[in-house]
Amino acid sequence: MAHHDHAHDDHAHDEHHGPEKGIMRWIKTTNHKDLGTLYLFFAFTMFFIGGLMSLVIRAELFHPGLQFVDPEFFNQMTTMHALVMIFGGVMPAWVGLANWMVPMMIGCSDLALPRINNWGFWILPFAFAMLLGTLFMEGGAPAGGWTMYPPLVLQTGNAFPFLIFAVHLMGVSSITGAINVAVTILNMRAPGMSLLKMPLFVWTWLITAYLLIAVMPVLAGAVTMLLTDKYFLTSFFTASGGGDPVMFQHIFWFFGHPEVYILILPAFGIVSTIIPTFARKALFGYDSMVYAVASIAFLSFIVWAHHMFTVGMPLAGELFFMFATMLIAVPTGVKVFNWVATMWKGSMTFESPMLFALAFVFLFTIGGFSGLMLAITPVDFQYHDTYFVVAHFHYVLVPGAVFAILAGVYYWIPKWTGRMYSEKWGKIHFWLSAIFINITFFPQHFAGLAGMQRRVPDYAVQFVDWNVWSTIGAFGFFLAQFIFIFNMLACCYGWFGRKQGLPDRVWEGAHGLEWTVPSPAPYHTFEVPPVISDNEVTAAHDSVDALDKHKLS
Amino acid sequence: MALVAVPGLGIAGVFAAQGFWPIFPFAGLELSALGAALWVSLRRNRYREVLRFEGGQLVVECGDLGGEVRRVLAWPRTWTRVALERGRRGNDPQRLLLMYAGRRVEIGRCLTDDERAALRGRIKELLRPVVPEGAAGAVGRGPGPSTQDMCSGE
Repeated sequence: MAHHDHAHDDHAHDEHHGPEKGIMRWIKTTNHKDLGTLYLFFAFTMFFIGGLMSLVIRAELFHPGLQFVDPEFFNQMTTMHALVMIFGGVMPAWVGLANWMVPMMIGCSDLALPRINNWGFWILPFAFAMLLGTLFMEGGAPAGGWTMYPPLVLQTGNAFPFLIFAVHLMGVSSITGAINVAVTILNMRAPGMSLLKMPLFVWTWLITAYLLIAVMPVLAGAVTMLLTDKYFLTSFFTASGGGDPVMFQHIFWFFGHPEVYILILPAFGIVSTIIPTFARKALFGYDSMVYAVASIAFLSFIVWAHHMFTVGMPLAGELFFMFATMLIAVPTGVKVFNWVATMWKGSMTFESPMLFALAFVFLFTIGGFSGLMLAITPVDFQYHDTYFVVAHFHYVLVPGAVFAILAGVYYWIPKWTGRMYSEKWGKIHFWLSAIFINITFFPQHFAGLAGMQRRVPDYAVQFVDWNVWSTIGAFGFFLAQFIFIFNMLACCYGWFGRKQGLPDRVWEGAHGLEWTVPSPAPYHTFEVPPVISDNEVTAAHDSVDALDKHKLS
Repeated sequence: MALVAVPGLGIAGVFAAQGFWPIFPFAGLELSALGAALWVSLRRNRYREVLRFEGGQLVVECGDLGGEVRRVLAWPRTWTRVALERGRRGNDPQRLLLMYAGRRVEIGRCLTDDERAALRGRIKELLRPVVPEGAAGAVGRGPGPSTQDMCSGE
């Protein structure tokens, strides 16, 4: 059985010790809540910067022809937008939520390695300063796409080594976060918290950490080989020296496809936490949810080549990757059905977190279905590198991952700050986001099916209507997020007369250890391991309980 | 650990066999880091400090549960003092110290300040001189042999 570790070092804290005062609190902190807050502020800053880049892209694509930027800068924007959103936005947001919630959910006082946690966060601002700094270098920022395919990426100017070093730093940060979370979950659960009693957010994060640990060295090795090809005369991927540029694509996507699941698995955990709360029912099929997430993680290792069907592969390979990819629909379907079954005959209410969670289920499923279409090899030959692909992965990542992050922040911010957000503005934010995100990305399916290529600043006039809608949607979505930012900052700083004084269990249907501590959560929680009551831990996810209730009703 | 090491090194090995060896050192480094993190965390979980009050002696044993005792102190009960000091900086936890003949040993680093304060009181009580049965004018009769197990984590 896992023991409760009180971090036997000088940083073992006590409930009576508050944080340091001033800026040094944030620089030196080893507290999981402080670092969670830092990660989240960093992530939303990066969402803002990456969002601005997307607006440059959409403004340019509002009409055919070149309006605002030259093609080279446009390519820099597409590349940087992806890198910033993936490595600066979504991943740090998940690590931030894990920092805040995992220790509170498993009943331990902090993450296993608090100093490493601090280091892992503070790498990020330097990594992104370096990456964003390339925009001001001679030759501009990297413009070869976030996938960094050679030989194109080797044509990058002075920015190239900075790109590689920045990617390495992001990787180190991700690895420190993953190791910390995995070790914490495996070694520091409160007595009585067995693996199959853990909240699903903890489970999904454990599996995410596993994926990160498994594939990050592949990315690190791949970009290092790019660096040596460029500066040290190696020929890993240089055809003229006997190297194989296509092999980079294999290696990259061997990392890249699990990376996609790294971005989405914690979202499954959050949605599986929120839906039972607002349906006031136990999660249907807890065990099957865990096995489904594990299956998705396993399958993510054997589907990478569906990203490169058009590169030229043996037919047997294409068939294998097509069927393996389609197989992912099975565990994903299990999850969607479980979420729907959880809501079935529930006493549902529709607060902001629930609205975002419901939108996730609906819109992520659309993204999943378009993914199934892309899995069909002959069909993919038509869709490849078109806006259909752009629509697909944005449906997975924005109404998927980003909506789940928003849902999580809405759900837990009363616990973090002790202040309730404005439900009215939360709902306005939700409806504007849900409408504008569909206006942005749904037309891109049609533009892609009609043949509009991705990563081009100009296009044929036949695509203009879809692009006008997309651009309007993108600007609307971006502006709508300021409602969220102000709503959350108002909770943090007590603006608009918001008072603290919420009960421990902010949502009446919420279960789990995090709802047994006061709101706002004290600076140090679970210094003494909690006594795990089976009722508290399993009420949220006991499938047998759910079935019984269903029969009774 | 094997669950992650086998696939991690396996993947790196397959790429190395294809000539793409630079993945291997990164996989090795990362798995070493994971192994070290797990080892440190497990070791901390098993760390124990046991205080025994035997006759005229206070015996302090530090070590890992199920492992060797790493440090043993046997100090005269009468001459040993216990004190609670403030941390080096404002927000640092308090330090519980055992002192004898100019030597200072910190114990109970795994406890909270409240627990340290309570433990200090209990140790102080137990450190009172042991007076032989029936001695005249006995003041502060010390309790019999006693064991205090700290940092058990349970």
